[in-house]
Formats: sequence, structure tokens, C-alpha cells
Amino acid sequence: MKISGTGLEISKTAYLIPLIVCLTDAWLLFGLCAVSVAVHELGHWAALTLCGGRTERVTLSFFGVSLRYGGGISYGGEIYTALAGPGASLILSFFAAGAGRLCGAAVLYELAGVSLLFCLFNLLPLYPLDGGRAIYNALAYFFGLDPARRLTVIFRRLAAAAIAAGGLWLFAVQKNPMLLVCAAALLTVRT
Amino acid sequence: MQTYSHAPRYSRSRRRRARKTPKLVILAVIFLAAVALRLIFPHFSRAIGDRVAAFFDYRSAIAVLGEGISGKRAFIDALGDAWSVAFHPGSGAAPVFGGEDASPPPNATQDPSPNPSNDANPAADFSDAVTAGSFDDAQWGDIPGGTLIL
Repeated sequence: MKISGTGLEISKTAYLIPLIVCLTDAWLLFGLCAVSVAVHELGHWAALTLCGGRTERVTLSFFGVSLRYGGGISYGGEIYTALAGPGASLILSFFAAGAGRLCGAAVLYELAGVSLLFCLFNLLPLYPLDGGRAIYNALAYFFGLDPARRLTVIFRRLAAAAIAAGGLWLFAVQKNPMLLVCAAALLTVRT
Repeated sequence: MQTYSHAPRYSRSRRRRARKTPKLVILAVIFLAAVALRLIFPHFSRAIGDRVAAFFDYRSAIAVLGEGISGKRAFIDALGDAWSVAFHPGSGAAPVFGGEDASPPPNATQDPSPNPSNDANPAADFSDAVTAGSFDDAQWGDIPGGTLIL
């Protein structure tokens, strides 16, 4: 499907989202995540447009939304585009928290929390995520593409190992598997 | 002159489409089954949600994080509290916002029907409720403080 020249693709794993929402009755979280993701991707799109790039394809999957873009933007533009998404999430978080403080609505605090989590999660130095992408482009600018690839892989393995170790520790101490599940989900992100 | 046949490419795309279609149908069926399960057995999905919440209280955790950003509590404390709330549900570091969740349920605020004799001699009321007449004949209104007992 194409909307104004941009291909919209829905991955097969995207079916897992409504499935899990249905089974766990987490409709509010789903709505908050949808708002956060929309603002996050708008941040990417705005930065990309400012840098002269163009969005070619938007893919919705279980792991979020990914943008494929072209237009030959510079390393600096790539870093700017990668960090614009977490920046937009952070701005939304501050706005929602301020509004929550003014009117005392719990849902606004929750939106602020979800947006902050989105921001922090996407800044993890794992390559497909925004933080990893920014690091990759910075390394490519300074050291070239091949060392950047190698160093990015090392960063990704270290971060994944740290999260998995945290998950194992939590499971051993608390018998709580949730962080382990998060680590497994993070490791299965296609790189 | 070298010629290329379109047949292999055609059959390849056809094979790919043929592989894709059953997968999509299976996923759609799973999704519809989940929706049906949710509609027919709402308690089932709620039970799963409660089970997840027992391990991972995400709602309280994100609300605590939101309070940390708003400045209602120190951000570093909020990070620690969010961790505690998320992975140790029921640890007590719950959000403190004054929104809808903070208000107690409506039943909890309802006072029992005023009965001056309760204050004067509560023991007499209980003895009446237990001894006067048979229990089957008694109506809910006849038992003083029945709502509190339940």
C-alpha cells in the first residue's frame, strides 16, 4: 500500500500486537504506546525532511515502526535523523508530565512515562535502534565503514549481554522472568 | 544473442506469494481466535493480565516515571521506585498522583446505614441478628451492619 509515494508495509509479526493486547487486556498501554510511537516517528520524519531525505517505506512490526529512507543524506544528517525520534519522545514526555501536573490526570503521567521509556529504549546502543544507528554513523564518519561495523557489533553484543545478565540475575533472585523476556525480545530484533 | 525467460521469475514470485498467503491466513485466524476468546471469556484475558501484572506492574512503573519527569518526586528516586514497582509489584512505592486511581472505590466511601443503637450497644445488635428468628427468614435489611460483614 502506498500513501503519497511512501510504501506502507505491515509485517506478519504486527499481528502479535493486537493478539497480546487482546489476551492481556492492556488496551490503555496499547493506546499510550500508539501515541508515543506516532510522535517518535514524526520526529524522525521531520528531521529527515529537513535534511533533504525522503521516506521510502514505513514498516509496522511487533518491534515497532521502522522507516526506510533515501535521498543520500550526510553522516551528520543521519545522526540528526536518528536522534530526532528520541528527542520528540522526550519533548512529548515533558509536555505530558506538565499537563499531568496541571490537571492531575493519571493517564498523562502514564503517557509521560511511556514516552520516556521509548526515548531511553531507543537510545540503547543496539544497531537497529536509534542510539546504535547514531553511534554507527559517528564511527563511520571518524573511522570508516568497516571499523564502524565491527565496533557496532561489539557494542550490540555488550549491551545485549548486560541486559541478558540483568534478566538472569532478576530471575535467579526474584523468580521474575520479565526482564529476561525483554532481553530475549531485544536480542531477536533484526540487525 | 542471449535471451532471458520470464518464466522462472514469474514462478518464483508466485511461490513467494503462495508461501505468504497461508502464513497470513494462519495469523489472521489466530488473531480472530484471540478476539473471540476475549469476547467469550473476558475473565480469561483479565486473568492473564493479572498474572502479568503480578510479575510486572507496568502501569504503576510508568506512572512513577511520569511523576519523576513532572518534578512531583525526585527523578533519581522515581527511577529507583519505578524499578521497584515494576519488578517487585506490591512493594509499596506506588504512584502518589491525585487522579482517578487515587480515589478509593465508591463502595469504600459509603457509610453503613446510620443506626444509633449500634453505637449504644453493639453487642445487643449482634445477639439480635444471630438469635432472633431463623437465619433463612432474615432479610438483608434485618441484619444490622450486614454490609460491613460482607
